[in-house]
Amino acid sequence: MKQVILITSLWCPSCLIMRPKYEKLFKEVNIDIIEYDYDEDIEIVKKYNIGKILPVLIIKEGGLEVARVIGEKKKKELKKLMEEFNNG
Amino acid sequence: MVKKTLLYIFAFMMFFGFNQNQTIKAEDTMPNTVKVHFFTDQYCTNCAQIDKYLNDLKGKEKLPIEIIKYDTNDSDPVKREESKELMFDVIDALKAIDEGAANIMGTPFVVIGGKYYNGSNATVRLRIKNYIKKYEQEPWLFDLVEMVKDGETLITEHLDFDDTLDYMDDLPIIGVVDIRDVSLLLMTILIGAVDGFNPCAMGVLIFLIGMLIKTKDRKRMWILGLTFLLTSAAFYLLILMSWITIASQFLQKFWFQLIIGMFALGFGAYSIYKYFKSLKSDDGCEVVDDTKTKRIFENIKKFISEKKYPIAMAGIIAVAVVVNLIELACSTGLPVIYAEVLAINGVAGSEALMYTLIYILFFLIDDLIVFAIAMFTMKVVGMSNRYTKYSHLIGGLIMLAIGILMVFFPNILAFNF
Repeated sequence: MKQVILITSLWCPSCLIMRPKYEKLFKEVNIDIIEYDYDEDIEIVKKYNIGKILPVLIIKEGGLEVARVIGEKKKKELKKLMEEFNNG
Repeated sequence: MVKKTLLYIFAFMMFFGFNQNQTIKAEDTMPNTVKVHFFTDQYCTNCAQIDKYLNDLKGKEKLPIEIIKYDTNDSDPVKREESKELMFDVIDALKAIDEGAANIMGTPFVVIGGKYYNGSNATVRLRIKNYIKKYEQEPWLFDLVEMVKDGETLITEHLDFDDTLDYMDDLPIIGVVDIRDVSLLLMTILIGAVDGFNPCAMGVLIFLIGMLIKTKDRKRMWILGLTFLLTSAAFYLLILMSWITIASQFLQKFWFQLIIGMFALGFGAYSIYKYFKSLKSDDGCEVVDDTKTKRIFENIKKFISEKKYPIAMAGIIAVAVVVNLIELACSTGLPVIYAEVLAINGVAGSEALMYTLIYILFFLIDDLIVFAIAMFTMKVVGMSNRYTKYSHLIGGLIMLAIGILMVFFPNILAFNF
């Protein structure tokens, strides 16, 4: 069972840009994104050790992290991510 | 019969009077042929440019000019020597009455009325055209080259020191303008836009709009959003006008200009370093884990939920001032450098205010777009952080260029090109 977690923040323009793109991509494979706010969900976000750049997308499978995408990505990179997601 | 005779007399008078007026008018506006003495070299490319330009003025623009060419590299040795000798005689005669003539570096060398021009750049071409137009209406009494040919001694009064047309150009749509004003205006727009394109205040504005949208209260959104933007504008206006005043006070002090120039070079280099550093990291929003930023966000939340408008507005004003203070550090000195450029150009008072307002408009343009979209769609949109790194590069290059000009060629920065 795959799980997709997205960490964003209300003040982050890159998060505003990436959110609808991720939503569209994962809707195609019938997966809901679980979104956490960097400033609100402090304890949960801390567990993921996300570093200094937002947004962060984490793909988990069987409770284990299998992929992580940091920051703004181009269409080509997202396509590659989805290919890996579907094959994996 | 009497009636008919009177009618003829009236018609005759009208015709005669009309024609007389026309004749006088035609004489008034009859263009004077302007003699253009052009010292050239058939093998020099810059001369070819001026040659073409003069021929275009005569042919395409129909300016009444007589081009008198002296080829200093004529295939006929006699003509060649005559042209060379005349050119050196004219240059020597000019050097005796005008310090500027010491800079004449050979061909292309053009003498029109009381003016002389060397080189072929855009400014030279513009001035040639402007003064031909001037002499077409008001002929210059002295033909410097003819006087030298006749062995007369030139004196300072033979030169035309009027420089009012030096920078005037007839631009499409805009009309006749001083190109220095256009240069300054373009610089204002460019620096303002680059300065505004930084993520510091944008993040706060997006947070503010996001919180306002959550309230679903359009009136509150307009009032508090505009309060934030107007405070930012007023704050920047104050900062820029203060800097212009300070810079104007120290305008005559070379050391002050040198310090600002060095400052521009330092910050320019730092901005370019930041650009190259950003290439190595992911594009996105950098998390700032300091208590100051967190306190700003907490305060925004607090003031947005404040029921009483005066308190909410006062709170947002305070937040905007703090944010802009922080942003001033983000903009790495562009406003300071811009203020110095205005001061160097002698811009003060209401003119300085006008330029500053244009600067602020372009400084806030991205914020205004984001705010307007949010107001009409109730959605927050962000501008990609992928482009902010280019603002470091462009800002850095602008600052380096201005720094170099300020330290080494301050005249160019005053748009005295």
